[in-house]
Amino acid sequence: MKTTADKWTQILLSASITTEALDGHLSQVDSESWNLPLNLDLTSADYIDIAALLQILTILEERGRERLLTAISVPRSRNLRDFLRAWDFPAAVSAVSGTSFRSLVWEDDLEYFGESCQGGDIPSRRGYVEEPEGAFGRLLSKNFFGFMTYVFSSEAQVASIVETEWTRWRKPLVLSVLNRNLRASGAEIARVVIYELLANSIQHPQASLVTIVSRVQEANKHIPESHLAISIWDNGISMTRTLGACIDSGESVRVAETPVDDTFEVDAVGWTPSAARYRADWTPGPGAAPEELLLASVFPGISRKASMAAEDVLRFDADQVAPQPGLGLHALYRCAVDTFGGTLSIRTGNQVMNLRAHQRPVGDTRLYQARLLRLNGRSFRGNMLTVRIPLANGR
Amino acid sequence: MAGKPWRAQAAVVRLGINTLEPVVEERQLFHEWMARRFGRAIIMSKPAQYTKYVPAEQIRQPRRSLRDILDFTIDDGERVISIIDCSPNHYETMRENLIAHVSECAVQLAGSSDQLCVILLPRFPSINHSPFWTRLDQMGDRGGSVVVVNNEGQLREFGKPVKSSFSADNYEARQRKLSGTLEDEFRDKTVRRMGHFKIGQEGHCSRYLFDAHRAVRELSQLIIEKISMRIKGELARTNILVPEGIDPWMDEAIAIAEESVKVGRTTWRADGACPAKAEPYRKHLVVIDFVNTGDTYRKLVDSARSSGYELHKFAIAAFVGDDFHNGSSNYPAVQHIQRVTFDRAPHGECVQCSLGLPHSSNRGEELIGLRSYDAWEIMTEVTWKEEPYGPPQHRRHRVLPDFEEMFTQYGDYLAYKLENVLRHVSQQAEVAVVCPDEPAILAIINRMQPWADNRIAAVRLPREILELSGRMDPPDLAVADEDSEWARQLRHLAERNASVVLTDEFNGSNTTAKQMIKMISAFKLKARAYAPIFNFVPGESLQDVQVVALYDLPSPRSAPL
Repeated sequence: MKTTADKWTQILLSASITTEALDGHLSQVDSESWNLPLNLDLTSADYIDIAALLQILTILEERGRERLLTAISVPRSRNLRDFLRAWDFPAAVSAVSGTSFRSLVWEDDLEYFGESCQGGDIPSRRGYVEEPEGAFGRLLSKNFFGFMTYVFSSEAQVASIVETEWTRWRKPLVLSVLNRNLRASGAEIARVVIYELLANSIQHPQASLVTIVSRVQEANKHIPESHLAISIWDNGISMTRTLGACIDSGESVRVAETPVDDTFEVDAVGWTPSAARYRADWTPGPGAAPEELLLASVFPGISRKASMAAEDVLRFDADQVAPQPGLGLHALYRCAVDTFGGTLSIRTGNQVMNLRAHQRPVGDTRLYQARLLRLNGRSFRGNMLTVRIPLANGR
Repeated sequence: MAGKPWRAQAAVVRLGINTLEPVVEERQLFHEWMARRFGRAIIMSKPAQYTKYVPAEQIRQPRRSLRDILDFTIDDGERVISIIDCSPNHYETMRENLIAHVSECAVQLAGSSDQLCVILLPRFPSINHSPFWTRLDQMGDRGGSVVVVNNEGQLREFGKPVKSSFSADNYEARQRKLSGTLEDEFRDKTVRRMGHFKIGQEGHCSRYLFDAHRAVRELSQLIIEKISMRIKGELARTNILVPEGIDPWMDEAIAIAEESVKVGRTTWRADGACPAKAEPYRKHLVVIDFVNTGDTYRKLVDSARSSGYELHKFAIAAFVGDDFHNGSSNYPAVQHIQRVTFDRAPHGECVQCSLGLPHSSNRGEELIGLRSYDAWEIMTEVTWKEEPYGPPQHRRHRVLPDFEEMFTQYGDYLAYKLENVLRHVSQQAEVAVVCPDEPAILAIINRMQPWADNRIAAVRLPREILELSGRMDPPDLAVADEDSEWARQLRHLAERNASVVLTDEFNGSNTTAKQMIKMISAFKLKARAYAPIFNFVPGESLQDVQVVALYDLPSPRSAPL
């Protein structure tokens, strides 16, 4: 990060853009630098992770809302530019920031708009590939994995968003690709992963926008393992803040006792945990660190819903009287980690959690490794959850 | 334990629909059969009469506990078998929070050693991650038992061991009988579109086009079955050979089959040119969407062979004309998924061509309503007779098309068109349809169900209740028959402020429509639209409810005397 002579904050991103790399840059941006015009310089990039791309969207959304001038230097890599176009990144930028992508691009980069996609492994739906090969090729050509942004303000819209995505992910063509490439039934992606990711995101207090994106990422020099990545972001209040507010008001965040002994070994970075291992029946109390709240947010029976005022959150289920087991994220991490051998990451506030299976499981207990980081710098806006699932057969 | 009979109770839980529906007798008998697997002397005290439903927006978290929704009773010391039947649902709709409720509820219903709860699921949720199993795994053998069965007849027991005469094969066969075979599902989801269709290179026009875009899953499975059964040992050296320009649903079904049986595809160009040099040892299986006259199919086979392609002895076609015969043994024998009548004519003899009617699009319907040519064919191809039911005798039409016959012959297409209208006016995945309780219109609504994942709920209003609406005020109408199926349904829809569309086989005078509007208003419901198949009074408006008919034909009913 540097400040240029004409008083622009420039973030020069490297060849491989990941969320870690972005966080590293953003941690150096203080409020003075943030308030200057900002240039996100992607010229050197030849790979960008979809979660990092989603994170760039959050920056654009936040700056758009604060009416701060922002510019993007388009990647020199033609392949990466094609990827951005094929995944409908420009449309997603417009949807979240309220500004057209074209207006964010430097004048010299405008030729970007005159290009056609090269095809290869990233054809777009606009007919760049005349004859997509196989079921996977057909999904690519229909832009199945690209950005989908939903704006909502009513319960009916919330239900419709869930219905739309859930329907998309259970189409026969999608299921055939998932069944062929994942190590467990592809139906679980729609039933558990997509559903729980969305149901979690759209119910965050003050959330009015949700963006979901996915990619089948082949192994390359930056990525050691081919995987399916699904990332979702909402602009609601941070999960840790809502849980913290609930505890501060004297309410318990444990809404149900659940007989689950899943255990999480914590790898803490930038903070000191009160224990090395946490069991899923642990309940955070007053004084819990935000990282502990983030960890507890995935435990079964933990929910902030009991204390949320009805007007704060859009739900499927107003006036609930049924017990609230709060099992959604619990099922999600188990599905991602235990069923598919993948990971779940959550980015919110100044916290990051990466959850994976522990390398050395003990007996019958399900043991997970939770890498929990406390980051410096600006607080992340909203909540971003990313599931990565290794491909069973490669592609 | 011997001697004392078991009391059995059953409930069908449907997810994602917005009101209750009657449970068919075959399913009630299936529940009784199931109960008898676990107890010889059974008294079926509480058969499932109406589905217990959890609407889409509450799937994650029902407003009421499932125990309340099920409405099961158990007295102390009673021997009870409780069956929670979730098997009619799509597995993907079974959210984790909800199925965790199901297992929790089952454990409660199996609290003592004389109590057994049976959960019927379409598929077992993953043992790796699903909280469904957590509570069941914790059951000791001091209480009752919970048995979980999936549609394949696999069974898992929890709690106290149970004795049963359960047979997986028998269970699967019975379930299959209830849900229908794959071929049945394919047929139910296929639409015979009416129009004026140009047949590829064959110089013919076809009256009908068969559209399987809602049946891709079934079609791909049927193709996979045929491939697996017929070429087993030669899969590794097989490629699928398809002509260029097949319909998108066929393209998708073949792509799924390729993915599943791990074979490649060669697309034969429409100009007949060979797309790639024939590979030695590679054998090709021709898979095609339609075989109508057979010209396209034979040309494809001839071109491929002349380019040195070796073909399998059989080919697969989704739809084959009933006048097509394999005939010459020089061509691979065509295995059809469905035999159909295309009703084709050479261009020169086509009536629609001679009338100058444009060709219809193969890709989708261009009109919301019916083309006049189709509407008149539909009406004139069936018997005409006196209006058999509906308004009082003196107001009935003297002659009308026989709508039951019409809907038997053309029901799939009319249902397809009507469903498009319902979606168009309601803008929601779940639509509640309110209609008179009369056989013809119900036949159309039932025809839509397989396409809509059974998520179109029909509220059937008896004619005598509709007639009452002229003589009673809304508050009285709401309690006129409180315990009836329709009143329960309307109350449920009102609780959820559901999207309601009125429909009928035809609108003769707006009278029935007004009666239906008054009936639903008694339950504080408002119609999004009135969508009759035929509208005989297109010039008349209907208060503030829009009328969207499939075909307008001015022919009003005579005025009341």
